[in-house]
Amino acid sequence: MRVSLGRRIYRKYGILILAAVLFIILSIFGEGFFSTSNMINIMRQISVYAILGFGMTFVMISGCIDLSVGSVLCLSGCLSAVAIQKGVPMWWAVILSLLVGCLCGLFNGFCIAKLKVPFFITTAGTMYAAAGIALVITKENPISLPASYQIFGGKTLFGVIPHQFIIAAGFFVICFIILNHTKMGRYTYAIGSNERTAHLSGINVDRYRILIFVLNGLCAALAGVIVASRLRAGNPVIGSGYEIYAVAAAAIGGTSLAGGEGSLLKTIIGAFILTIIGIGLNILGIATSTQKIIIGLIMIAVVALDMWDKKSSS
Amino acid sequence: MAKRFTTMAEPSAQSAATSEQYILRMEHIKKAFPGVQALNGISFYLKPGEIHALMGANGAGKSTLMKVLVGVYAPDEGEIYLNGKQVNIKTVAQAHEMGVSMVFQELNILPHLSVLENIFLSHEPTRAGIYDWPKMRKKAQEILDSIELDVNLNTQVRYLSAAQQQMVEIARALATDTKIIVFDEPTSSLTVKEVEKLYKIMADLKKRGIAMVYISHRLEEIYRICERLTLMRDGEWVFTDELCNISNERLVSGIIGKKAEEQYPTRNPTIGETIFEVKDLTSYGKCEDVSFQVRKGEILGFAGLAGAGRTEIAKTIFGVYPMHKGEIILHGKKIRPTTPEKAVKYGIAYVSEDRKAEGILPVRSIRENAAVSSLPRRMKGPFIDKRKEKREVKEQIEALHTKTPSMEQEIRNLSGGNQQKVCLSKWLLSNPTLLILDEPTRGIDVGAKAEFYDIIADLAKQKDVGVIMISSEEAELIGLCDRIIVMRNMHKVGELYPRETPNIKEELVRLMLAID
Repeated sequence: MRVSLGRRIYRKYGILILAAVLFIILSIFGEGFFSTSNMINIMRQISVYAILGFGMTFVMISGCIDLSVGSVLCLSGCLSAVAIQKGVPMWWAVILSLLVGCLCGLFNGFCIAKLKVPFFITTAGTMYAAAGIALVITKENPISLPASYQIFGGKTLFGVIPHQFIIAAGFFVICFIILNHTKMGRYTYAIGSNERTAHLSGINVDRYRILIFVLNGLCAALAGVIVASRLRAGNPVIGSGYEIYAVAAAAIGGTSLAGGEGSLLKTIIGAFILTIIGIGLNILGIATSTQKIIIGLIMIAVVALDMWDKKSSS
Repeated sequence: MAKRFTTMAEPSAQSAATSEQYILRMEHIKKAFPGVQALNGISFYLKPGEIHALMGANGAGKSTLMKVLVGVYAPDEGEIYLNGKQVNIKTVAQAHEMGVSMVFQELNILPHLSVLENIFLSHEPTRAGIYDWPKMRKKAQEILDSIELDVNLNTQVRYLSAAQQQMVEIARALATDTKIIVFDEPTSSLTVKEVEKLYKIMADLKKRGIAMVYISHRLEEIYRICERLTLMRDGEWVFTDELCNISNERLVSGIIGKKAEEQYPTRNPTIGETIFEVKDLTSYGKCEDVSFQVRKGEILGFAGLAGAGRTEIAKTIFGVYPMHKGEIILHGKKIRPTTPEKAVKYGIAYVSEDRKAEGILPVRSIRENAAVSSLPRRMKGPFIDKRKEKREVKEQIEALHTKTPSMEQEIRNLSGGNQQKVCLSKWLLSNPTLLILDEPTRGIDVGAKAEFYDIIADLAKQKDVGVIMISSEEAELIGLCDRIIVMRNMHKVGELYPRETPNIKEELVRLMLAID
C-alpha cells in the first residue's frame, strides 16, 4: 500500500513538527519565552528529563518500565551530601552516588531477570525502599552541599551553556553509541521485540536485562547529582514524579511500551516538549497542579495518535 | 484421469444462472501492503455447503484473501456479496455477525481463560448486561457435544492439547451461528488420529449446510475432503475446478513449474566422519535413552508423531531442556550445552518449528533478524561492524532468494516462506557445526519447499556441518534424508536408510504407530 505523503511525514517528523509548533506558539503568546535567559532555562531543565529519558528508553525498548528512578535520583543526591558531610572528597562522593544508582539498577535487574519478579512490582518496591534509605541516611532533613558541587548544575560555560547541558550532551553520545553500535543496544531491541526468540537465538537475556537496569540506575543517579547540584542540597523528599517524566519523554518520543522500538533522538524531542510545556505554562501563569493535568493528557494523546497510526496502516 | 482437462473459465456473476448459486462472492479484491501487492484483483466464489480448497504458493495471497473476508483486513478495492447482498465487513465482530468465521493457522485462543469463556469471547449472551451463565453453559455444551470434544467447560484452555485447542476455536466459530468457516492450515499441528477427527467434524458441518474454505499445502488432505479447488498465484486467480478434474501432477506442476518427482534434489553425498554424537540422552518427561550419530555431509531425518520426542531431543541438545542423563559429544569432545547461549557458542544451531513465537523478532528489520545470532563474529572492539553485517546479510538474502525490497523491511511484512528463509539465514551466519531444522518447510508453499530442499542439500554438501531434519512429512524425509531415525513415545525405536529400503514409507509408518 502506498503510504500517503502526509503519513510518511508524520512518522518521520511528526514529533519534531509538534515540538516546533509548540515552541512557536509559546514564543508568540508567552512573554519572555523567546529570550536568552529562558533558552538557558530550557537547557537546564531539559538536561534532567533527557538523561532520565535515555535510561528509560533502554528499559522500555526491552519491554519494561522502571518506576524507581525518582527515588534513585533522590537517593543519589542525598548520598553525595551525606558523604561530603562525613568528610569524603567531593569527586569520590559523586562516584559513590553514581555507584549507588548502578547498585539499585543491579538489584532491580536481578529481581526481574533471575527471581522473575514482574518489573512493575520490583521497581515499585525499589521506589519505596530507595526513598526510605534516603530518608534514613539524611535523618529526614535536607543536607546542604558545598559551593564546589555546583559544577554539575548551577554554573554555566561562557555564561550561556549550563554545565548540566554539557553533561547531558556528552551522556547522550555515550548512550547513542551503546544503543546503535554495540551488542548491548542490539540485544536490547531483540529482547523487547520477542524475548523467547532472543533467548533461542543465543542471547543471554538475563545478563542484558540486568545491564539495562544498571544503565538506567546510572542515569537516575546522574540526574540526581545534577538536581542536587541545582538545589545545592541533598533533599530526601524530592524525586517523586520524575519517573513519569522519564516515561513521558520516551513515550512522546515514540518508544513503545510493548517493546522492540525506540530512538534516543526522539526521546530528546520528547524531553524538549515536556520542558517547554512546563516552562511555557509557567510563563502563561498556569499553576503547577494544572500543568500536571495538561502534561498527563498530552502524553496520552501523543501515544494514542501513534497507536492509531500503527493500527490503521496494518 | 481424463487426459484433457476442462477448467472453468474465470467465474463472473453474469455467467452464473443466478447469483444466489453462491453463498459468497468476492469480486476483484485488491489489497496492498508496503512493498507488495498481496491481492491483485482476485475473485472467489463459494457454493453453499461445499468444502472448497484454496491453494497456492506462499505469498500467493490465500491467507490474505481470507483475512479480507473475515474482517481482519479492509480491501483497497473490490466487493463482497453474502447470499447475493453486498456487505461491508470492517471488523471481525461484523464478520461473525454475518456468519463468517475463521480458524487461524496460529491459534487465537486465550490460554488462561476457560473453554467456556473462549467459546463465547465477544459474543457473550447477556441478560440485562450481565453474563447469562446458564444459557452460555447449555449452548457451549451442545456445541462441544456436536463436535465430540470431551473436555470440561471450566478447564483453562492452556491445559488442552493443540488439537483440542483447535476444536475450541471451531466451537467458537459454531457459537456465532456461522455459515462459512475458513480453515487456515488446520492440520499442521495435529496427529494422524486428530486429523481424522477433524474430517469427521467437517463432514458433519457440511451436513448442517455450512460452507468451508480449506487452505492447505497437503495434497492428500485436499483430495480427500474437498470438492472444488481454487489455485492462486501472486495475488491472482489461476484456476478453479472440481477436484476430480485435477490430477496430482497437474496441480503440483501448476504451482511449482516442475514435475513432482523433481522436487527433491538428487544427492550423491560423500559421508565423512562423525561430527556429532549423543549417548543415552535423557531429559525427564521429554526424551529417554536416545543415542545416535551425525556424520559430515549427511542429512539425518527424525520421523515420528507429534509429541514423540523429536523436538524435545533437539531442544535438549540446544540447551532449552535440561539434560539429566547421557552425553553430548561434538567433534569428539564432551560438551554440556546448558543454555541456548552456550549451545550457540559450541556451534549448534536450532531452527525452531514455531517461527512466530520462537523464530523471529517481529518488529525488527530483516537485517537485524538475520544478524542476531552471529553478532560476536562481527565486532570491531566493542562496536558492531555494520558494513560487514550488511554485506553478509545481503549475501544470505541472495543465496536463499529471499524476496524483499530491502533488508531494512520489518520481517513481519514478509510471507511465511520468506520469513523462514531469514530464520535459516540467521543460523547459517552463525557458522554452525550442527544445524537442527525443526519442521523447516511447515506452512510453506510447494515451490518454495523445492527451493529449501536444494538449499539444505547444498549445505550438507559444501560446509563442514551435520544436518538434522525433523519433519512430519514422510515424503520429505524420504526424499531428502540419508538416514531416518524414528521416535515414538520419547524413545528411539528405529533407524532406516531410505535409499536402501524398498518399502520405506510402510516401514516408517509401522515404526511410528507401533504396528507390527
